Amino acid sequence: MVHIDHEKCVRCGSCANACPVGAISMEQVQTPRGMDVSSYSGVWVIMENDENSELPKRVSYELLSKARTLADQMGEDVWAVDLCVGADGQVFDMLEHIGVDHLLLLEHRAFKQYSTELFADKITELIEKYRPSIVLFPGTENGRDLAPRISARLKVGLTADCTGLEVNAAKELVQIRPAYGGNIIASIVTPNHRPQMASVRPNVFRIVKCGEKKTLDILRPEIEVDTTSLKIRRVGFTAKKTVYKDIEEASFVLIGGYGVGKEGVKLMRELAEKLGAAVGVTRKVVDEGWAPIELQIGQTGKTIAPDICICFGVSGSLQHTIGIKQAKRIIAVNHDPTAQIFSMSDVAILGDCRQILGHLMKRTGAVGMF
Amino acid sequence: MSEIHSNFRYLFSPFKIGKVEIKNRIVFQPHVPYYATMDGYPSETTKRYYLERAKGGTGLIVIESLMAHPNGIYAPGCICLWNEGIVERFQDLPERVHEYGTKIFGQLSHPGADVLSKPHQLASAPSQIPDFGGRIVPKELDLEEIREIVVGFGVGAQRLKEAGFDGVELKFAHDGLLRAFSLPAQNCRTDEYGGSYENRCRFFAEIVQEIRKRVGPDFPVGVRLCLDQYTEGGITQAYGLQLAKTCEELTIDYINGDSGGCADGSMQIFPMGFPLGAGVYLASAVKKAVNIPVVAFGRINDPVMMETILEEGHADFVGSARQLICDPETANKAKEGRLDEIRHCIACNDGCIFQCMQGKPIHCIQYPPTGREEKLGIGSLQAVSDPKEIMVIGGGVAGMKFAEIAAKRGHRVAIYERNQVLGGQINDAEKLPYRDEIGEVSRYLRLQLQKLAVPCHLGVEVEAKTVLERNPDVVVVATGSTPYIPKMKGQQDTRITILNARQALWHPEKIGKHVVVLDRDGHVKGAGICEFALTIGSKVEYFTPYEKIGAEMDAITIQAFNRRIFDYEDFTYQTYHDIEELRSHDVVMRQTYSGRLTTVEHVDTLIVVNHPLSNRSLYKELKKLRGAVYAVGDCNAPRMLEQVIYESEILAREL
Amino acid sequence: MNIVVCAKQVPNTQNVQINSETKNIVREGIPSILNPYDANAIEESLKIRDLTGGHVTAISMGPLQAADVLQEALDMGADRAILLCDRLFAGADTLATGYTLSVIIKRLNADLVLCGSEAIDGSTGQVGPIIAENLGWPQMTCVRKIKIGRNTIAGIREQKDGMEQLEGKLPMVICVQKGINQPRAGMPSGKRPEIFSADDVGFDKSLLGVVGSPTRVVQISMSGKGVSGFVFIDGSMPVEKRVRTMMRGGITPRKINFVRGDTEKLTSVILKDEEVKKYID
Repeated sequence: MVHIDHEKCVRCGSCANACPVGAISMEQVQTPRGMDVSSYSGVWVIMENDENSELPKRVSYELLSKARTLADQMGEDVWAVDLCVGADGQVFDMLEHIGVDHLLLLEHRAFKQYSTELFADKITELIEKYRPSIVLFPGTENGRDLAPRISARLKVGLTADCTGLEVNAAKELVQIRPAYGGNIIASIVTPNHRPQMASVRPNVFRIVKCGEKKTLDILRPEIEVDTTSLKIRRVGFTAKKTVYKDIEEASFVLIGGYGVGKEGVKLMRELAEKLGAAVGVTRKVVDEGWAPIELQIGQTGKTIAPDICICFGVSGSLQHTIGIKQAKRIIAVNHDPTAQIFSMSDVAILGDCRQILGHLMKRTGAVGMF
Repeated sequence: MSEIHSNFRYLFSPFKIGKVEIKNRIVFQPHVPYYATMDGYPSETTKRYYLERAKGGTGLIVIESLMAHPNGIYAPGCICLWNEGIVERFQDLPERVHEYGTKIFGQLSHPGADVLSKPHQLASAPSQIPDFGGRIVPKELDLEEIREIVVGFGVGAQRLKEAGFDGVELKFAHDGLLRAFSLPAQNCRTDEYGGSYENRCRFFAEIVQEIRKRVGPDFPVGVRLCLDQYTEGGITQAYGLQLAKTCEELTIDYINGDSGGCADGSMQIFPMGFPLGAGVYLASAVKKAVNIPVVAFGRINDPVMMETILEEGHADFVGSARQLICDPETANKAKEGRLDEIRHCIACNDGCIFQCMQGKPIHCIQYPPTGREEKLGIGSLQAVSDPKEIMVIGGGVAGMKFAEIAAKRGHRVAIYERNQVLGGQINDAEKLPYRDEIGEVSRYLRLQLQKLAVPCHLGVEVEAKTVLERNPDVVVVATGSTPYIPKMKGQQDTRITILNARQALWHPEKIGKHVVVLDRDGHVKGAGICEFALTIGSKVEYFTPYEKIGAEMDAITIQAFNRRIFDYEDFTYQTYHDIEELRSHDVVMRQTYSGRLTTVEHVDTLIVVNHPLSNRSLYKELKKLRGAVYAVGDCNAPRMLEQVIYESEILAREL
Repeated sequence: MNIVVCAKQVPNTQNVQINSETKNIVREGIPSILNPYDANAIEESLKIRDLTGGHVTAISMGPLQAADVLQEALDMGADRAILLCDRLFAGADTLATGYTLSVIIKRLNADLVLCGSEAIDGSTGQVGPIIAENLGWPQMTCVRKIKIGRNTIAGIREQKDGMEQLEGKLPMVICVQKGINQPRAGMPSGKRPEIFSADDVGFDKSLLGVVGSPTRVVQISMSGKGVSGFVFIDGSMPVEKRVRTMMRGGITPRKINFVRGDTEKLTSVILKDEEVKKYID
């Protein structure tokens, strides 16, 4: 006699699949608030902007790139949703390169700062009006604050911090995420509810530009913004005492190892500012007190995935290189021909990194003066 | 909870092995330190050694490889469990370890054919096959002997339980009889102990049964299991996983990871330059396959790394031998958030494995108190009642080490260094390929000096008259040594560029296409310079008057070197050769026994690795001018780090 | 002030395993603990109560053994603890969990709800905001510091690039970060958690448990994630290759073509690199 231990059963369906005679079947759970899923269409990405630059964060473009792939598989359109102070041609151009079809642009100065209530209200309104089939949120502090609020209002499912997104045969969104401290990978679907919502952390997906630009259809829906009724307001903001560009977000990174010395790290920071690059360092540099721990890359630091990274005086011990493995192109500068970094670099420059840094300063400085 | 450093959520959380709770996740891995008496009893040194690691906050100590049966001993100096009165001779070790909340297990082993030196007694093995890479031919075990050994393991475990140990571990690792039985390549028996997998594991299964019979089901019995031997015919990763599952079926309580074997020691005791946490991926695979606790291993030398391993779920415990040899207080320092006071093991293998492989008591090059706990151990540093003004001349390792210890005792110490950086010859040594970790030795000292607020005056050349003007209470001269190349015949007229090791390392542009390396040093320098020159594309011919490349290096480190340098087709070597003379473009070498000459033609560069000469003139001068002048380090005679650090520590403790 | 604090019992995540045959999560012998973030939330609620007076109720949803974590909350000093335990709750995702908890919170007439920022098993951080939405209350997430004013509550919200100071009025849901405080050790309190079933509270049963959960887990597998910060060697490679890969720190050695020359030339190589040019021009 078959006995199902309800304590343990997670309704995974493995038993039904495995039964050779088809004696076990999964009862379709009736979802009382199920929706007509076919009336929903479009893959949405809720963009997030940097408060200071007022430009979209990298993660917005990463999600839009992924959205493009998903939309192609589903035969639907990609929609970017941007609540901002004002967007310009630079942003539109990037969206066209990624292959975004529509931009829902809500411009208001109140959108400079994130507010749970305001953003949740406006985005819910849009979702109810346009009925997208998928909505993706950045897995940032704000995205993780916002997404569950909207999911609860719409009574739909939400999967946090997905590391993979796929479309299955039923054209459902398969949301893949680690659980139990990353030991287990779960694949999750939301069969009877729309939109299907998920959040994704930065640096999970790559920014992919299409071969040819799409023409972007910009919609500016009429909205009312009333900030007087907000129950929580921001009364201040203390920026973390760092003037560094975010290395996890940057696509161009300079990395300094022990070999550049204290002065070299300083020089690198100046150079990076000039070039608009971010700066990262190895653990040894942090241990020496030449740079703060936020800049540390590697086994005990951050992992980055820039398009290009130039390593100065990095010996390339595994503990560090693990953090830069994802870089698309690595240029290594070191006077030590045996530095391990060379075996993983695309360009191996044998020379004094401090002198080269000095020259780079001069030459790029000259460029800036034209 | 409150005293736990918030960054270590897992490392300091307790975890159970069987029914025994271990207070944190740090395991002192078993190894033979050769402190036991020659007749196989633990000595006072043995006990102090383990106790020190308990004092330092370690969660679990697994001691030694304890010999289970008289027909298998690695070498004299191993503890033999069959010895009369062995239980009493462990005396209060477990009890004293328990005082620190630490648990103690004993590892049971039978070396099989893997004895260290040609033994007096017969070595025995499942079949008459030497171990991979081994030269000792064993005798095939009879069935009665197998039975006796099985009982030996059981009795050994029982005795450890009686002595107050908390558990036992079986060595199914890089060496030993258990492993040999399991491998078809080493076990050709046709009886019930050979053939099928079940038969090959029978010996192991019987041992577990025998032990369980004697110690009961609740006494933890673990296995140190080789998870990849990296040897043709040896344990593979897949086979390791199979064995791990068998262990679980046989009621084993935990798996302690291990890898490598005698054929390739560098994959067993990963030397410097090998990745930190080298064995974590193997432990991680086992952790996924079994439901008993797993201990990660392989160059785990840092609590942050330990935490990462646990946090990412690769293992339940982190095992370190060498890190705790180098810093027995690793656990406590991490717990108290004193991360910058942790001395990291650099896997130089000079003080520990090198000694151990010769059956000699082990030490640590960075940490003199290891093996000398009674005199120099934790808490033995005495504060001085009359702090002295001490001027240390020279900021190399000797000067820094002296300053660290002297400052800790309360002396007012200041360092004067001629160069712009501290560290002395370490700054050269870390430039050798795969040797940059040696920089940790000076980095650690530098951090301590910073913490102790020892003034370090850099770029200051001290003369005798400066010393007389300052007139400190004590002067310590640590002026080190200078590279030196003895005169060679034809040196004046040759067109060949002659470099010493330091020049070669700092000026790779001077290294030409065709290089001759003469190695009169025999340690890492010679072999390392070859690799350095090969990397930049030179053709290298190595000559040494000694019997092999790196005659002074430990077998494991040289193995790694050899693997790398023999990869280059442009590398050749000749032993028992020294230089005869230099011609305009040629180097003439002489075979040291026959005197036969060989000419190496069209040489661009000759790199001579010779011992340096002490810089002793300042010391001699000061000695004439005033009292309380001491010399430490290479200033006395050029030596290895271990000797220099020991000398400095002792002097600093005595002043 | 009437405070409700939410607690979750979680498996010690690092020990999670899948039974290789049944592909189910092995739960036997895996120690369960109070979610560490929730310990901070409990501590914070006790601190606020001690300051303002009032009442702290700890709530949790889960199997009977989850009473252990509520016992911990009581032992730390909570006034009351309620475990929602019913088969109908089983299989709930964050939406259903948030709904279930919000119903009992309404019943308890709370002014303030505290949650941990996330649970270490799922790490979604979604339940707090979902509760807030269901109650129609505002929320503060990622909170590092709470200050109780006369009429207001101020919270410091931790963000990647700085600390946001927020202010609002009760009622409110606050999700706290780990570093907010140091949870106290518990002392046996003599109190026991109360256990409520689905019938004890007025639930809309269609919103509970697996029925009320829009998301479906269709597959679970052991993480393919090998060993992130550590060398990983494919065990099926030949011995010699395994050894060499290990020796080189996991990097497959390849022939290096060094660019050599004077500093001027080397600098040019960098500046003229195709990728670099994109950023410098």
